[in-house]
Formats: sequence, structure tokens, C-alpha cells
Amino acid sequence: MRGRFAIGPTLITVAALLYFFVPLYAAFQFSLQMKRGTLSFAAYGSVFQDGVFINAVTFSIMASAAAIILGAILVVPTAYWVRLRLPKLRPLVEFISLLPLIIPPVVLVFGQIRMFGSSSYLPLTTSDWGTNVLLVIGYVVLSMPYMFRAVDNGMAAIDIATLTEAAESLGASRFRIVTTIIFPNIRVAVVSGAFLTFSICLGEFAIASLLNRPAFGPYMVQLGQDRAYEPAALAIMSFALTWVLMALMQAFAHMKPGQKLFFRIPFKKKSPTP
Amino acid sequence: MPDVIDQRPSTRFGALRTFRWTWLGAVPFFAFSVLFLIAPVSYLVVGAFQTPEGGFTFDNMIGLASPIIAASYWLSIRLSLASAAIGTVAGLLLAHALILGGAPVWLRRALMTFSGVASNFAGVPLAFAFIATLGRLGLVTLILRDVFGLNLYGSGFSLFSFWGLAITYLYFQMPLMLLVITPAVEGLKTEWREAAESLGASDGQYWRMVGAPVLTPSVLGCFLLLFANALGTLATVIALTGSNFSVVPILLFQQIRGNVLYNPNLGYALALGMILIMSVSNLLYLILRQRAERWQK
Amino acid sequence: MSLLTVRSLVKSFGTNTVVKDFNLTMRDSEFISLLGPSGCGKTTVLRMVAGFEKPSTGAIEIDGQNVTNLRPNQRKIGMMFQSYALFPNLTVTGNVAFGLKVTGTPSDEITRRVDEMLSMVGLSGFGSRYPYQLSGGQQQRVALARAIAPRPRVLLLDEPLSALDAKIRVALRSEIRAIQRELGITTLFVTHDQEEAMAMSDRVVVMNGGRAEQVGTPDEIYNLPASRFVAEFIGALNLLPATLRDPATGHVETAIGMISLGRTINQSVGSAVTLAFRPESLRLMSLSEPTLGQEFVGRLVTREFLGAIVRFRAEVAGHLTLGIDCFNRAGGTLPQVGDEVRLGIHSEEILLLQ
Repeated sequence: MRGRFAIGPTLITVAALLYFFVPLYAAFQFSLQMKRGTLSFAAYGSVFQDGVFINAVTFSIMASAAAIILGAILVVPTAYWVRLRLPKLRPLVEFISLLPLIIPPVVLVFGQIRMFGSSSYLPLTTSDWGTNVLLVIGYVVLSMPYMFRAVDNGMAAIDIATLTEAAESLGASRFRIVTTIIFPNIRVAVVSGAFLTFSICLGEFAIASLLNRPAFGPYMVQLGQDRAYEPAALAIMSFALTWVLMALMQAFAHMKPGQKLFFRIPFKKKSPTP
Repeated sequence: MPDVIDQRPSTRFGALRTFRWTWLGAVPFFAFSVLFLIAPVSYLVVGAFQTPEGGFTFDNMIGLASPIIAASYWLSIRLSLASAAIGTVAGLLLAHALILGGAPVWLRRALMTFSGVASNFAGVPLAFAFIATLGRLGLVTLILRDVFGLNLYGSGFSLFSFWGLAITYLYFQMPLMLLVITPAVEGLKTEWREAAESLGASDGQYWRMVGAPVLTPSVLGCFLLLFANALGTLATVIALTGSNFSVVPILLFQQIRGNVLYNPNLGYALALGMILIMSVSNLLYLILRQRAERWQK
Repeated sequence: MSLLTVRSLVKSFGTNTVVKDFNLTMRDSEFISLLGPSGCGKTTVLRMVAGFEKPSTGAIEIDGQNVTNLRPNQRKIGMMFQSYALFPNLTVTGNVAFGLKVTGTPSDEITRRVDEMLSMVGLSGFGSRYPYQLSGGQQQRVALARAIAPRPRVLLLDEPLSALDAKIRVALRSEIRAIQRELGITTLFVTHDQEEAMAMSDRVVVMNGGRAEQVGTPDEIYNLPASRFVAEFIGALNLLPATLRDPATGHVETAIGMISLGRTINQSVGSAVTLAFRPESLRLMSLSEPTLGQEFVGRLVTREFLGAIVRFRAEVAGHLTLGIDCFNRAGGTLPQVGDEVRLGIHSEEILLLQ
């Protein structure tokens, strides 16, 4: 490799860095200008004082959390079982779990609204509760490719077939194997899938809007039409949140067994008194 | 002989039993997928070939050629092609600069992590950030006007138009390209370049005869991925332009909201068209990726 | 005449000097190996000759031309890599033709030369295959054909055999050597495998810590190692600490008694020295055999049957173990573990290390 950082590549990198950081800086600067003549965090305060904002964020967090739990319950046992007992089905399961990448959310929700509309056998959209369920299901489908890939990679990394055989040869029951061996070993993968799901669903617009849910995505669009400075503040906050989620995901992904995510404060062991 | 007769039923019964139990484990996943993914999509696909009364017809698919819908598809495809092309070139240049250009390791790592964030930072907040940058009162618009005397909006540019959207899309397209092309660029072995050099080849000859041909399948594959990514984008467009910029997802969004096409089955055909384009580009992506991986062995 | 001359080569990466004052003169058609443990600087020397690394100081001349500041593509060298480094997008023919194409050779000449090269490496008829369709051994043959097709002045081999299976490795090394002899191409070969270096080379350069410890024919390197490092690095070795008692007659005192080396030693009385001898120099002797130069008694503690040879370890003087290699002969009787044995050695086979 050439040792130095040549001129062409340097220019390209600088241009890319500018392109990446100028919008963030612009949004930040803009968000501070709510009060004429001075820089202030008034726009942020205004966002947080809005009861609708709190409700929308709470709603979206709950929906995302529900999607994460349902997604994990669906994907983890399936991925395990398919790897262990139904390897022939693997390509099919993989294909289905990747399908949502091909089908845009707006198309998916279109089909679901028609399937589960007022005149169908399972009229989910007629009640608030049912529509919420449909939203969570939509989010599960949307995040399935990421969840499945994270979990399946996690299982590939630990060679679950051999681990299961090893545990069985030592006399462990199936339930014990899954709870004490498999799950602790893929927990990291599940958590990283969960963070991805969260970052996809929290600000999701198409499904939430078409199902008329009071979620964060539609709220942001509305805010963008009504206000000037608050949207910029929201952009900065979402970007920061995405960073935090990705950083947590990275931290979990690189965590080794037994390692804690945060440093524990070391405390001195009392030496036994003689 | 009696032995054999005795054994048969029990073996068969045993096999049947384990067979059933094994399959049961996959039932929840398949039930969920069929009910909430495959059935709804099939509903649209079937509906695309039906009259409102339920009879079979090709009219809806032919209806896609009507001026409004065709214009919408054409706009979507142009925008996706433009944004994918810009994203591919920019991402490839950046990957080349970072991996082969001798960038310091910390910078490379930082930009990779940033790309992981930025490729997930699509949607409404991205639109807001760009309004603050290139909107009528955006930072860059004002700097260009006040410092360089260049009136962006006077010269015909608008963030809320084709090229404005393309530039905004680049914010998630370029990082995505960087992430997906990096393995291929890293797969260009140093030894290939050295072998070429030892055989008397110049830099240009190396790139023309080895580097470019090896990278091409991966680059094309990534281009298709970016194309599909842009095609499905809805939230960014809505947050930037309201519903005025009628790319296909917007048209479909409006159709679901209020049946603007006055024919639900035409809406199904619209959705099917999108699925088809997405499928073809993703399929080509997979084929090209496989071809590229064959070389990377 | 000397075809490749390397003068006072030094290479530092930051504060780390990996090659220190390296000198080498290669005659036309000579095959020289750079042998040493990993990190000894052998690959760096090769890469400086190729032009991939720039020497910190020193000069490299090929055929009387100073190439120190030339780029690799101007040096007219051929190179083989450990990882084959075949261009994956080109067929076998495309790979072999590469060096000819970039220098603008006429196409009929290219076709002729490629055919000639492929038949030389035994791959006629493989021209239209892609590298991923070939085995490792076949890929490395293509790499050889590619390297020599443009008639390079020097062939540089960077551990080309170490990624291959043992059997193919042995077959290919004699093939490379045969082709090298036939073409009379000056070749510099980097390896960490002493057997490979011994088997293939006219001369071997044993490197350690960025320096050439010894340059010599394989026989010289093995039988007359110039330093303790060379002696220990090449082959197995028994070491025996000793004290010099009589420099004139070469009498030394060891834990197993007085030993006479039968030669004058230029050191003062009482200085500590180390005796070294190969396992195959030690002989297991029957009671009836007349004594060799030196003799001592030991008890066999392990026995490994390796096919052609049987390797024993014997305990002598209660605490020292010595390795002994014996040829295995059908019908012959070799002692068993636990047996007391007579061990003999000729005094000229005992080396003296400082």
C-alpha cells in the first residue's frame, strides 16, 4: 500500500465529509434561531412542551417495543429449529424473511388494509385495538429481514448444532438447552436486531399514516407543514438518537461473553483480616 | 417373515410422528408470513387482474400505460436511476479513497460507522435537515447568495424538485453504497496490483484489465440495490414536497387514502408494477453478487 | 558475471529497522534462497528487489543497471506470490498473456509464447479455464508461466509453495527448479522451509534479524554452520555445554566426560563453549563394534518410528537428553526404550559454538 494519503482521495474524502456534516450543522444552527436575534434552545423546549409530541413518541416507542418482542418470539425459535431440524426449509425461510426488502411498506400496508378491512373475515381495521395490532404486525414484517439475518448470523457464529449435541450428550433437556445455552449465546444478535428494528420503526411514516395511527412519523410530517424551527430540532434529536442506537448496537455486537456493556466501577475486595 | 410384518407398522408410525412434530416447529413463522405478508401481497396481485366485479382482465395492467400513471412511473424510474447513479459513483469514489487511497485508519473507521447511521437516517428528519440546508432560507442557499452572489432558486434549482430530491437521497445512498461496496473493494488483492506491476503494467493498464473488470459485477449489483432503495422511498418525498411530487409511492399513497384513480383495481396494478420493478432489480442484484463472489474465492 | 547485485541494503519502517546492511551478488542463472524465520526481513529484501518497497539506503543493480529508483513495472522482473495472485477475471491464457500484452507484443507472438509456456508447465489445454476452476497447484503453475512469459531478467519467488499440500509442494518444487535450469533464469526464492531451500538452491542465504547470517551452498550451511543461529535453525541439533581444557589438542570437559575434538581451538583455557552435533551423527553401537572417536553410555527414553528413520532420545549422565536418528532397515534389530546403549560419534562431526 502507498503510505501517504494522496491528493485525489483527500479531496474526495473532504468533499464527502462536507456533504455529510453541512446538513447536520445547518439543521442545528437553524434549530437555534427560533428567538429572533439570539441563539437559544427554544425550539427544543417548544417540542418537548407539546403534549402531542410526547404522546406520539410514547405511542411509537410502545409500538416498536411490541414489534421487537413479537419479532423475536417469531424469529428466534424458527431460526433455531430450522437450523437444527429442518435444514431443507432454510432457503425458503430465508427467502420469505427477505421478501419485505422487495415489497415497499406502502404496498404491504395497502394489501393488509384490504385483507383486514371492514368487510373481511378478520376485520382488524375496524377497531383501534385491531389497527394497533396491525401496525405492530406491519413493523414486525418490515424488520423481519434485519431480525432474521442478525439472529441467523448469531447462530451461524456459535454452531448451534454442535452445541446442542454437546449439551444433549451431557444429559440436558431440550428446554434447558435453549434457555441456558442457545439463548445466552445469541442474545447479542437478538439485541442488535432489536436496535435495528427500533431505529426503523420509531420514525416510520407510511404504515402509521395509512393506518391513521397517532405515531411519531406522521406527527413529524405534520409538524414540518406547521412549524419552521421545531422540525430542525427534531432532525437533530433523531439523528442523535439514531447514533445512540447504532453505538449501542455496535457495543453489543462486539461484546464478548461475560463482558458488561458499561465499565463496572471497580471496588476493592476487603482482604480477610488475619 | 413374521418379524418383518410386525415391524413395519411401528417404524412407519414412528417416522410419521417425528415428521409431524418436527414440522410443527416452523408453523408459527409460516402462518404469520402467509397471513400478513404473502396473502396481502397476493391479494393485490390477484386484484390487479380483476375487474371491480371480480372477473379476469388485463385492463388494469394496460391501464398502467395511461398518461398519469406512466408519467408517475417514468418520474420514479428517472429519479431512482439518477439518485442510484450519483450514489454509486460517489460511494465508489469514497470507498476507493478510504480503502486504497491510504486514508488514516481512524478516519476510515469513523466514516464507516457514520455510514451505518446515515444509511438508516432516511425519512422525515432527513428532509428537515435538507430544508435547513438547501431550502429557500437554508444555510447553504444563504451563503451562496450572500457570499458568492449566486441565487440558487433564481437559477432554477429547488430542493423540492427532481434534482433537489436526488441530492437529498444521496445522503442515504452514498453511505449505503460505501457499506455494500467495501467488501468488494477490499477484495481487490494487493498482490494483483503487484503482479500486474511486476509484469510491466502501468496503473491505468492494471485498472483497465484487472481492477475494473473485477469490480464491475459488484458495482452494478450495488447500483441496482440503490435503485430499489430509491424507488421505495416515500417519507422523504412527502416531508419535502407534500404530495405534489407524484412518484409512484406517492400516487399509491394517495390512491389508498382517497382512491384518486377511481378504480381500486388500478391501484392494485400500480402496486404490482412496483413489486415487479423491485423484484427484477433485486434479482439482478443477487445474480451479480453471486458472480462477484465467485471471483472473490 | 553477476546479474543481480544488492549493496548495503537497509530498510526501516519508522523506528523499526527490518533489513540491516544486506549484501548479495547473484551470478547469471543462479538459484538462491533467502531462508529464515518469519520477521527476519527476507520478504522485505525480495520486495525491495521487486520494487514494491523502497530501500532506506543501499543500491540494487540488475544486469549492471542501477534499478534502485525504478518502478516495479520498469524492472523487467517476474514474480510469484504465496497466494498465486492470478487475475480472477482473466482465463489462464489471459493471465499468461498479460505481461506480453502490456508491453505491446504482437498477438501472434503472444499466442505462440503462451502455448509454449503452458506446455512447459504441463497445462496445455487449460488455456480457456478461469483461475477458480483450477486447483492450487495448477494455479501456481499458471502463475509461474505468467511470471516467465515476458522473459524477465530475474525471477522472484515469494514463498510460492507454502499454501500448497505437502505432496504437491514437493512435486512442484522440483518442477520449478527444472524449468529454472532449462531457461537459465536467475532466481531469488524466499522461504521459511529449510528443506525446500536445501533441495532447490545453488546457494542459501540464512537470514536473522535483518542480516545475512551465512551465505553458502546447502552442504556448507548444513555441515559447517557459521553461527549458533544457523546451526540451530537448520536441522535438529544436540547441544552440550563444555569447558575448554586444552586449546592445542581440543580437549573439553563436559557432563559426560572429557571429549577430544582433535583440533586446535583459538580460545583460552577455561572458557565456556557449546558442543553441537546432529542426531544422525550419533551412532547406536553394538557391544562388538570398535569404538569411534568419542563414546558414551546412555539409556533410551523415547522411540519414534518415522519410516525411513527411527528417532530415539537417550538420557546421558543422568540429566541430559540427546536425539539420535538411525536408519530403519528391514530385518535389522534396533534397541527398545529402556535399553542401555553405547553412543559413538566421530570427533570431526562435533561442531564448536561460541
